[in-house]
This record gives sequence, structure tokens and C-alpha cells, in this order.
Amino acid sequence: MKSGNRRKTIRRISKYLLVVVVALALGVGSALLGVGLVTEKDLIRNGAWYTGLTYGSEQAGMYTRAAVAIEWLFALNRSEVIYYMADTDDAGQLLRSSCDYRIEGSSLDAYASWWSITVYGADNFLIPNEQNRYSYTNKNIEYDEDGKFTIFCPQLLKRATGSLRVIKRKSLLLCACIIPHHLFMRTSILLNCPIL
Amino acid sequence: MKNWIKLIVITLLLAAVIHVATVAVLPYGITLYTLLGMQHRTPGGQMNMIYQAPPTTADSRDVVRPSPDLLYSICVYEVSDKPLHIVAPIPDDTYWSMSFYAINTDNFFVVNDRTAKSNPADILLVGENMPYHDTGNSEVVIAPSNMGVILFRILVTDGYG
Repeated sequence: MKSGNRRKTIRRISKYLLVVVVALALGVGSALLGVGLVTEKDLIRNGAWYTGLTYGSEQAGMYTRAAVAIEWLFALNRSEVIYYMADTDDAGQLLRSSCDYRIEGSSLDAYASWWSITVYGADNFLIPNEQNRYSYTNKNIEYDEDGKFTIFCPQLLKRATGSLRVIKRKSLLLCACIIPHHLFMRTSILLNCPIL
Repeated sequence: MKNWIKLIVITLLLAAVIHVATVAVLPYGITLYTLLGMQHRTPGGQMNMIYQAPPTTADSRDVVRPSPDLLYSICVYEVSDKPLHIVAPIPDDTYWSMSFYAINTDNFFVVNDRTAKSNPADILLVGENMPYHDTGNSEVVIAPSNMGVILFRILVTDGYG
């Protein structure tokens, strides 16, 4: 009798333990998935580039705040800086260290007092390279006669291949523009991914 | 059969609660973890002290997506007991900003080299509902959380980004 009761108790505890474990997996998993999906709605896109409307702002909802904590901790809000991101090329393929990239664009100086294009690994940190060069800015980029620039990225990505495991998955291009006024701007930067 | 349905409903309800709790707590947890890491960089691991971070490289791992074009100084603030008075000289001819973040990730105040009312910038950071003495010279900023971080950014244009 005693043994039967014990078995019943063990079965009940196991059942509730299973409920807790499944609920934890579902709850945390769906939360992380939801953060990505819900914040996706808050993005506006122009070609490969996208930007968030409320990142870092006090108007951000709880899903956006969670996304900021994971990927944008201490980003400046839009009154100060606009961040454009691209994690795919123009063909929609994820940026990879096995590809060489060319970024073509026009000067953004009319809109921004300073702008910079930086490459990050999938871990959201800078990618090690021999030159210690991580970005191009309007202070060190060269323009052609038509006022356009072309950046070749093999030096940024290829050199890191093998030295940083995480970037084999995907990389991220980030264009940060410091804006002098509250101004919404669409960038005309193109992203190409020819295998050179 | 009824028992199984009951268990599934309980599981889903519990999952929904955990889902909301995770999304709500995540910003606070990650920010607090990062702030405590930053605080240990200051002499004596003190709050309300400024830490000058080295130039940003691939080895910079404190905060995600650091800008290689900026020099960062960091101050983890704590204003539950008394306000924090900040006087910061603004450099000439380059971008400079002082941005304030609450524990929930909100960037609740920014002042830059163009918007600063004086040089040096003079800010009095005050906790919510806390009485303070207004000197008249400082710009008063109310912190939505008693703990957070102030980031000073200076654009450096020498060398590569």
C-alpha cells in the first residue's frame, strides 16, 4: 500500500516536473523567437539595408527593448544617430566570410555630419584583421568624379576566415550616421556580392 | 483523457507567463550584467566613477557592436542617495556626446557638441522624486531608474576606423 502511494506521488511529481520543463522550453523559446519576429515589424527597409524606428527610444515596446538588450545595447536613439544594417547582399543572401563584397554608394555628407560603415561578425563584435581596419567613414573614404564611392570588403572579411569561428555563419554591415537634425533619410548605398 | 487536457492547458498557461516574464526581464538582466562588468573596470569598482576605455578593436568585448571610430568613456551611475553632478569639457572640431541609459536600455537623454548649452557641459542627474538643490548653472536631467550608465563618445578621425 505504502509502495503504491509512493509510486503515485513520484508519478505526480514527474508529471508536474515535465509540465514545468516543457513550459520553460516553450516560454523561453517563444520569447526569443517573438523578440525577433515582433521587432521585425518595427523595421523599415531599403534594398539590403534596414533600420529600426524606436531602438533605444523611450517609445520602444518590451519586445524592442529585449532586442536592443541582445543586439543593440547602448545604441543611441534616432534623435542622435540613425543605424542602417545589412546582413544580406542585394540578392538576399546572408553575408558570409567566404564571399567578397563591394559596396557602392553616394556621399551622405549632405545629410550627415559624420557617417561610418563597419563590418561585424555574427557575434556582433569587430572582426580581427592584419591592418586593424574595421570601418570606412566620410573622413577617410575616396570619392570618384561623380561623387560616388566604392568599398571592396575582401580585406575585412576574408582575412578573418579561420581566425574567428563565428563569422563563418554570417556577418553584419552597419552604417551609422550622425545626423545634425531630426531627419529621416533613405540611403542610396548598394550592396553587391560578386565572388571576385 | 481529461487529465491530459488539463495538463496541456496548464503547460500552455505557464509557458505564456514565462514568455512574458522572459521578454520583460531580459533587458534589465542583460543591462545589469553589463553594468556590473563595466563597474569593475573603474578604480575600486565604484559607481559614479568614469572609466576611459581603450581604443576600440576586435578585442573590445564589453558591449556589442562597438564603433571603431569612437573613443568611449563610461560611467555607471547610481543616484538613489544623491544626485550626480557631471561637468565635461567638450572638444573642438569633432563629434562628442554624452548619452544616458536607464536600466531598461532606454537612451533617455543625449547631449552632443552642437546641442550642449555650455562648454564644459554641466548636467545634474537626479533620481525620480528625489529633492535636489538647483544651482541654476546645471541642466537637470531626471533619471527614470536609479542605476544606469552614461557613455561619453568622441569621434577620432586619425588613422583607420
